Amino acid sequence: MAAAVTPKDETSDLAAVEAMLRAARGDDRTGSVRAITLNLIVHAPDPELVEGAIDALEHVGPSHPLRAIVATPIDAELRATVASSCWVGASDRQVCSERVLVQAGPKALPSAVTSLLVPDLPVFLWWQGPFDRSDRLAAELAGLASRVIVDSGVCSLEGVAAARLLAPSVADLAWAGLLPWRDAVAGLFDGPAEVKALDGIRAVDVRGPENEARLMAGWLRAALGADIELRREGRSHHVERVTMTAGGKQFLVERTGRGRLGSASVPGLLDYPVVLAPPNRPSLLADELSRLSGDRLFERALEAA
Amino acid sequence: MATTAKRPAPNPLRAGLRVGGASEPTVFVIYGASGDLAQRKLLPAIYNLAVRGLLPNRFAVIGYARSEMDNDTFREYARTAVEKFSRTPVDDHLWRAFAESLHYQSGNFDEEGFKVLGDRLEAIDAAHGTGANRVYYLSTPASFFPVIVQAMGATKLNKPGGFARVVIEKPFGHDLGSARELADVVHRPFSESQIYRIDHYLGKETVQNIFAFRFANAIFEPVWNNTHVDHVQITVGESIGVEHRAAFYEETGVVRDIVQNHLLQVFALVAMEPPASFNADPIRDEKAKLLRATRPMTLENSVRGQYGDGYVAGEQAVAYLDEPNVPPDSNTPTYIAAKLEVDNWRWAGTPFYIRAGKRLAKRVTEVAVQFKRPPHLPFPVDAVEQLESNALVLRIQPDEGISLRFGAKAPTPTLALRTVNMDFLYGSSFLAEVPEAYETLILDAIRGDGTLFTRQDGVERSWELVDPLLERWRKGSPQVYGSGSWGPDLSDELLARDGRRWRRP
Repeated sequence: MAAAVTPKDETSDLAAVEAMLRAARGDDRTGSVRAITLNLIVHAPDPELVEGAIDALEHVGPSHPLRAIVATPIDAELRATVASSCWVGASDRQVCSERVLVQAGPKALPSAVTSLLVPDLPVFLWWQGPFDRSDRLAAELAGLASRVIVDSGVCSLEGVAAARLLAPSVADLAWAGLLPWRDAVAGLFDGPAEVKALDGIRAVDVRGPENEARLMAGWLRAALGADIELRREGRSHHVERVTMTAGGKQFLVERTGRGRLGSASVPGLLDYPVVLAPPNRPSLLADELSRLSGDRLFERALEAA
Repeated sequence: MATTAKRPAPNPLRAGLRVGGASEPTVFVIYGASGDLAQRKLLPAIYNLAVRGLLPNRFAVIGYARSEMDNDTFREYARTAVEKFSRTPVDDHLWRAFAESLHYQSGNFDEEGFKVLGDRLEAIDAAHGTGANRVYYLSTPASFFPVIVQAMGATKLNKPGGFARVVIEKPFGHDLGSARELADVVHRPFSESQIYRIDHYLGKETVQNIFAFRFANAIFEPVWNNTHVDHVQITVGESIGVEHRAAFYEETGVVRDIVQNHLLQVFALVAMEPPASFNADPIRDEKAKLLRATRPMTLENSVRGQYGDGYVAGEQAVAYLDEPNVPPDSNTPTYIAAKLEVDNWRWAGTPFYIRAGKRLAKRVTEVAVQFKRPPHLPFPVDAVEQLESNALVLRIQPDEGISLRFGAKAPTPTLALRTVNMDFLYGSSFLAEVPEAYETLILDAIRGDGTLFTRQDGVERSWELVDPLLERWRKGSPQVYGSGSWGPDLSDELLARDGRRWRRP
C-alpha cells in the first residue's frame, strides 16, 4: 500500500483551510467523490505527541478516511498547517485523509476546532495525556465529541471515569489492548467441563501494569457477579500472566517469548497456543474509531475495577 | 431425521466480548483433504482465520482422505498450500502454533474408515478439549456425498455429543430430481439446520454489500419497485474461456455453472422483500418467497450462445469448439440471456433481464436498475435528445461501487441537458484487506450462522426455474458469438422487442 503525502501548507486564516485542502486534493480535478467517514480531534499538547499522533494517523487512514484536527494549545497566535495523505491499494483504489494541525491559545482552540469540523459526520476526540475534568479545554473538546478515546495507562482509571462524566461514550486504549487476554482467559472456560469451574474462582493473579490488572479483575467481577480478589504478581509494561485457581486446579494464560504467541493451560488438557498480540496503539485506535456506541462491558468492568 | 445435541451452559466470560470470531471448541474435519479445493481454498482460509485470531482457542483440523500421510507430512502439505495460495504470507512464528492444530487420518469413505476417524476424533477431544463439536466439510466430488453422509450416519459421526454441522459444496444436484435425491440422503443423518450449502458467491463482501445498500438506506427502498423501476439488468460476464475445465463444463454449461446458483442468488438479494432481521431464516424465507413468485424460464424468453473465436482485451482467443477436450459437435451453451418475470406486488410488470457468459468483452458482475423516464419533460425536444433515464448500478466486481446516472444542464448558450455519471468506489471509503469468501463462510459454519448458506427449498425452487429451459435446450444449437463481444445478436433482440437495450458495462 503506497502513501502519498502532499506538501504541508501553513496559514493563520482558518477560512483558507478548506481551499488549501481542496488544493491538496488536486482541486478535485479527477472528478472522484471525496469520501470522509469521520472527524477526529487529537489533543496533542507537545511536539512529541504531535509526531506520535501523525504516525498513528498514517496507520489509521487507509481503513478510516477522516479529517484529523490535531489541536495543540500554545501561548501564541493561531496558526494552522494542512496536509492530505492518500493511499493506493489493490486495483489502484485510493483513499485520502486530511490533516489540520492547529495551534492556538487554550481559550481559542475549541472554536478553531469547531470551525474545521466536516459537517454531519461523527466526531471523535483522542485525548492524549492526563484527563482532568476541571480542565476547561478537555471539557470543551469532549463536549464536541460523540466518543472520547483515552489511555488509562496514562490518565489512570480515575481519569477515564472523569471522561465518562463529560462524553456520551468513552473508550480506553488500555482496555482495548486487553482484548486478546480477555479472549484467551475466556477460552480457558469454553469447554462444558471447565465452565462449571468458574463458580469456584475467588481470586485472580495478574502480572502487569496496575490499570490493566484492575480492569482484568473488574471484568471478571462484573461477568461472574462474584467478589474476585486481585493479586498483583509484579510490575511490567504489559500483561504477562493471568492465573486463576478453582477447586485446587490452576487455569493459566501467559506470554511466552517476545512474539505474538502465548500459552494457555487448562487442567487435564494439553497446553495450547494462544495469540496474544502486544498492544499496538494505532491498531487499537483504528478499532475504536469503528464504533460509535459505548462499550457496556467496559463500563461494567470500570465500575467494578 | 437427526436431532441436534443439547447445548452446554454458555460461558459468562464470553458475554459482550468484541472478538468477532468463533469461540466454541471445534474440530474441523475435511473430507478430501488432499484435493484441489482443500489445497487452494480451505487450508489457506483456515490459516488466515488463525492469523486474524478468529478461530476458537481450542480448535483442531483433521484432514481425511485416501492418500497415505502422517501428521507431519500433512502439515508440510498444508504449509505448501498456504504459501502458494494464501492472501497473506506465512508467519513462521504463527505457523508453528497453527501447525500443532493440524492432524491427518487416511482412510476410505466407508464405515470401516469412519470408525477409525471417530476414534481419532475422540482422542483429539480428550487431549485438546474440543468438546465433541464437529464441522464436517465435504471437499470431494459431488458423487461421493451420498456415500460419505451415509457412512457418517452408520458410524454415528452425525451424533458426536456436541454439535455436528456438515458443509456441502455445489453442485446440489444437476436438476430438480437429483437435488431432491441428494437432499433425501443428506437428511437421513442430518437435519436441515445442520446442513450448510456453500455458494461461495454469497461469501463475497461485495455481494453482502447489496444487503447493506438496500436495507440500511432509506432513500432507495421507496423507489425500489415497479412504480419507479422500468427494468433491471443483471450481468455476470467472464472474459476467460473454459480453460482446462472442458470436461466439467460439458456436463454443466452456463446455466448450471452460473445461473442456477450465483446469478439467481444475486437476483434474489436485489428483488427480495426486506427481512425482519439479518438472520438465517428470515433472509432465506424472503429469498424463497421471491423465487416462488418468479416464473420458470422459457425458451421464448431466453437466448443461448457459444463463443467463437475472436479477441478479448487484445488477446486472440479460440472458439469453444477448438478448446482442448471439447467435442467438435458440442452444443453446450457458454452464454445465456433471459427475461425473468416476478409475479408479486412489488415487481409485476417490471422484468429482470439476466445475462451470463464466458469470453465476453470483460469480466464484470453488476446489477443495473433502470428507472422510468419522468412523466413529462418541460424542455425543448432538442434539449433532451441526449438525455437518458436514471440508472443506479451496483458493481459487484471488479471496482465495487455504485454509479448513479442522472441528467444535468450542460453549460451551453442554448438549453441542453446531458447525462452524467456519479461514481462511488467502495474502495475510496475503506482500504482494508478484504477477506476471501471462504474465510467468511468457514467462520460462519463454525459459528453456526447459516445466513449466507442456501436452504433446500431455495435450491429446489431455483432448479424449478431453470429445468424447463434446460429440457428445451436439449435440442437445437446455441448461436455462436465472437469472443470479446457481449454475446449473440439474438440477445439484443430479446430486449429490443420490449423496446429496451442492454447497457454496456
